[in-house]
Amino acid sequence: MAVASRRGFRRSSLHHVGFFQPRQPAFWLYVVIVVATGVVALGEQSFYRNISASGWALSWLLLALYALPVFLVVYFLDLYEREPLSLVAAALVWGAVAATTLSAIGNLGWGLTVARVGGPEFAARWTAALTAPFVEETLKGCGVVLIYLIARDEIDDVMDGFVYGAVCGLGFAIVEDVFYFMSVFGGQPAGVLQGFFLRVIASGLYSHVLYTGLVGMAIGVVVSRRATEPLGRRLWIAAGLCALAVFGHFLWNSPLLDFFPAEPWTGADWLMVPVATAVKGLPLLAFVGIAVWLARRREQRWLQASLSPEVGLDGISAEELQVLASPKRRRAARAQMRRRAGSRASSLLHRLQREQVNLAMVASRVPDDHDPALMRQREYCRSLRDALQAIPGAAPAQTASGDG
Amino acid sequence: MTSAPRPVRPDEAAWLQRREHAWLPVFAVLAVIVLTTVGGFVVAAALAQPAGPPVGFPGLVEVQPLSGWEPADPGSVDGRPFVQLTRGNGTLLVLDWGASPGDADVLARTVVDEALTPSFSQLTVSDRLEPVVLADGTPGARFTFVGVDPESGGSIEGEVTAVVDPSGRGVVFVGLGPEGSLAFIDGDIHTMIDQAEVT
Repeated sequence: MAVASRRGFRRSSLHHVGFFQPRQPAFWLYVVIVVATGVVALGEQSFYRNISASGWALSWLLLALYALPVFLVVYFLDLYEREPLSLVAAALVWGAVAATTLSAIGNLGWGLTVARVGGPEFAARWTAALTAPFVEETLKGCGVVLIYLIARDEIDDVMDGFVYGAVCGLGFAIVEDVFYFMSVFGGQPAGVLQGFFLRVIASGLYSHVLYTGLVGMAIGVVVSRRATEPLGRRLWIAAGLCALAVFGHFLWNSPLLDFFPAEPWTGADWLMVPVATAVKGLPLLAFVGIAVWLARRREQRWLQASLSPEVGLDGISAEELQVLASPKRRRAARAQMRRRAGSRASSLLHRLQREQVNLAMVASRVPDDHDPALMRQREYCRSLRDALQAIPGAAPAQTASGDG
Repeated sequence: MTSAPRPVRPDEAAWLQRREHAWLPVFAVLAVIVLTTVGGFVVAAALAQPAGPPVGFPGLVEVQPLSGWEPADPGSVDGRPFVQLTRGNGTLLVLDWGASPGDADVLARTVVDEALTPSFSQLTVSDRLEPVVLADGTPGARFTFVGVDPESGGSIEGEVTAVVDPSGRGVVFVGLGPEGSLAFIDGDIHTMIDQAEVT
């Protein structure tokens, strides 16, 4: 039966929820922590600006050039349901402000513990590996959990967890990089460029975006697969993903597999640096790539399972489903529509596609095929299609792009 | 915009129904954040138990070693006696400076001129003196330095804390370690100095 097959891919949200949720206690915890840590973070940035205003400005400029495309790639990885920007921004701010400030304190405290247990020589080599992966992944992960608690229905798939986690990690990476550029690489423009080469060009693909993306996936598994996986199995999967994130971070910070050339670097040494970072980071990047690919495949299966029973009814045709399943085909259909019938028709087709994704969400949450909400959504899609076909030139183009 | 509570479907299986406690998970997240952020300090403090008898100079200063720190051979610098505690390659020297040329700030500057400059090459000293107060209320002055040990050629970093007892005798605490390692022992060093009894 259609409903039974859909329930395996049960998703909960239809209407997006924004960040501003004053009735949620998690919202206030988030606000209090971000404001409190924000004061510290602003003081730190002011301190860096005083060290070298030009170096500080260059740091932010270079990091913006890195962060913007990474943000867009992560944001658009979610095939069908873009996350509310206010929540994504909240994840970014948590990573940049709260997680970095709290991690600085936490790393210091646990670093003292490592030194107490292992002694100063051991601590000098291993503290970064034994503290930061646990402290930072925990604190960044807490931000994703808070986002979930603020808007529970928004993390309804593993990919959603990845998006929030990766963006949180991106925020963390940006502020941490500013710290390194200004404090470790001297803060002057030449030092900032050197830091940018080492930490972004040579290492930017392997950093916090991956680690916290995995932690976010773990949270996504726990909170979104209630219908298909028992709690124990979800927790095991989540624990495995978190352990992998921590291990990847540990390996990055540890003296193991250290193929960096001896300093000072000259000539070919600079070419060896990306090789050295790839040895440590590439395996995790490959794993995350596969995990994201699998999560996207799961989203595609969810869409097919949810909408296949709808084909032939008012909401969607077989051809439309074929186009809808592929972001590339969706974009191509809209571009073709724009050429044939203008931007208004293209915009309307975009809206139809979005509502057909919403149709999948309604179909996967209602108890039967005759639920009033489902019938209303079918009718709404049909009315959008009718309006589209009424635009001169739209109907043939739509047929050509897959609409029957 | 606020979200309305999701109605629970009557046909939904009990194990699928979510009971959304608002406060419990928030407290849990807060607890994890607090534990992760400050837990390390608590554990480190719990591990830093006093161990062994105090070392120092009777009638002037006594320092209680923390666990892991052991007394090493005493010696003298420019005729001024010192005792020392070591942990790995980290060291805390406690010098009996004798009559102080002034308050703690003056003593600290004198240490640079009379003890550090002759002992290290390429000496770099922090710009400012940080005021400190020991647990027994004795005021002091603290600064950091980096220099090269002429004998070993190794780069050494250290931190000097100068205090003056009520009778005008100076006590100088010097935390030392190879460059890059001081940060991992300065917690212990600060604790031992802070708990020192200057009589």
